[in-house]
Amino acid sequence: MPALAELERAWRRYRREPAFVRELSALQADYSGRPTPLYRADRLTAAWKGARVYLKREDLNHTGAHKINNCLGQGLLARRLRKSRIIAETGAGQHGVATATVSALLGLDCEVYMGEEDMARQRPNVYRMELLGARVRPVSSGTKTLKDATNEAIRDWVTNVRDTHYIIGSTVGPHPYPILVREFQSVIGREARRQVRRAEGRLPDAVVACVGGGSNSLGIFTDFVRDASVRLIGVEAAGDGLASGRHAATLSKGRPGVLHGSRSYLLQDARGQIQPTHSISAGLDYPGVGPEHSWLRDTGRAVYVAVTDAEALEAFHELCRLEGILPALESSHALAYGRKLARRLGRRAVLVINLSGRGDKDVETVRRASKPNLKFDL
Amino acid sequence: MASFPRPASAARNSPAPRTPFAGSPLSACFSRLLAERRPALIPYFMAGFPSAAATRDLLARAVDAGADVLELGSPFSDPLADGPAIQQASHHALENGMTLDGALRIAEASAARASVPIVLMTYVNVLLAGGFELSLARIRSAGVAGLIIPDLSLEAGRDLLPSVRAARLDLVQLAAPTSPTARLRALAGASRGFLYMVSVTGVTGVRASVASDLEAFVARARRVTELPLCVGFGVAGPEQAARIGRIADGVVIGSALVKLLREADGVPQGAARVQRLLCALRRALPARS
Repeated sequence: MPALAELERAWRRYRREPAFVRELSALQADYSGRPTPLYRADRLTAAWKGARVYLKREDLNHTGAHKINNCLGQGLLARRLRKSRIIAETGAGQHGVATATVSALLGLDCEVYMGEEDMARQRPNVYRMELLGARVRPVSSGTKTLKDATNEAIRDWVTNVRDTHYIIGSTVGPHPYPILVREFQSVIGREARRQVRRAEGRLPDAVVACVGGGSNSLGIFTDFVRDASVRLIGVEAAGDGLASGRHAATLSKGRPGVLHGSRSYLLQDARGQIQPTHSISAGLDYPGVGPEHSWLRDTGRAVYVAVTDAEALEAFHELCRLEGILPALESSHALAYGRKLARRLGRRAVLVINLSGRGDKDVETVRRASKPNLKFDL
Repeated sequence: MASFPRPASAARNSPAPRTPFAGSPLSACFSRLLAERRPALIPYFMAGFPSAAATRDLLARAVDAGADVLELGSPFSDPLADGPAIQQASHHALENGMTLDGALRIAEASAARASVPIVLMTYVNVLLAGGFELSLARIRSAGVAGLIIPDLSLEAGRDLLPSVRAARLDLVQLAAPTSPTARLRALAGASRGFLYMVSVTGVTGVRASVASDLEAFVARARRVTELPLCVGFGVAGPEQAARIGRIADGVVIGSALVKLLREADGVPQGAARVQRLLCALRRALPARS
């Protein structure tokens, strides 16, 4: 596919080009606020009665999540490719907001595809994108979530490829996207590795991150992959429970297949039809996963577990009350497993959890989940 | 088998020599059509839309109306290359319980009735799910002649191609107007039966008019291959078909048929309308003088 070949050529050319690297680093520092802190969460550590817990504060990025790391990089690439229009898919809306933000910054037209169900549960982000000058295109096909938004974005891209760059938000899609997104996100792990060594004088015992498509997790894992002593743990969404059939735990329950241009684990039926998924967090509600996660899983370098909606909600509330931080529901999955792991690792251990985004967008969902009789539009 | 005779209108610079797969039903079909200097009419139907029985009936009517090749879709939950009309048909077919095996039973019935070659269009995950080679064997034994897998790129398909050839199935490649000439040559080199020329960039679906650069696109492909060139995506009716028929070796029409079926007042009315449109298309595709 010529557009993919063009993108790969551009990326190979610019990734080490001094002017590109300088421009990206300057934006990361002055616009997005990098490096993000690695925060030692003492009250959380005390409550969990186990490992010393550090939170990598990706929620403190401009726009409130790690998604901007990738959008800045791809936005600069798009400008060098002389594309005048940007499209994106979004689940929770964080990638959509980051894309709309970077498009505004670079003066590019922006359209974001979002499933109707996600638009209902992440309404504040829909309006944020509109304020930033993007058009949000509702997707009513299929399950009306991230998978279908991705289908629509791909359809748009093949139609308008001449003037349009598609910023995929996760480590999924056809080559070179999974590698490209990983590269732009791996700044998380490079910083975290340096920061934890400065704070503790050593590497952590484990790094935990949530996995939907897998961009924040691969972002923090990549620089630790060479450190065999560091356990890497990806946390998927178990929804109502793995046995319920209503979940999005692709690596725990899926089989290899092909979706959106890459071969990876997939939640599918015996006939190869992609299955509907469920998670309380729109950002994890996806039946596929980045191919590199499949590889990390199959080689045993990373381990993948799953936590339920209820466990994630409990972790959400705990972080709010103990540390004064509202985590995204996606990141709350990593926290929920971190809690179990901290106790098991013991007090001498050091645990890093990637707090991939902030939870302001989820306030309504959490309120409704806590009081089932409440309606969204109150 | 000798290489195809070429339409007189085609530019002839230095075409890469191509020998179509000997004994392939698609090759035989296009050899005959090219000898008659007549473009192929290739209607597309989604298996299970509006129902399995209706699809059987529609294939038979299409043959009666003068279809030269039949394209049969097997539904997939995430049809990336398809526009809204075929997406909805695919969704409807899955709700009806349609499967690859179900589609193959429909193909088998049609193959038993008429010797019009059938090309199956589906997405790669559907074929991988039951084991790729096993799926190919089932497809072949149902009497299907060729395959279109729109989400299998040339690069990703390299490893799978030998199995397709071993199953004696023609894998039809899709070329887009944005494909540079070197890529057109590579696609044509890997394609068997015919080369599917996507008339517009984008997904399947009816367009008001055929893209204006279609002639240039077809001429570009003529210079690099002797394969028959069939144009699809966005074909609405006889007028467009006639224009395509003057330059290409075949016209594929799908979404327009699906729309007729969906908008009709019941299946019999829809089927009758489809047959009328196909007859009109047939008349719009006369032998080239």
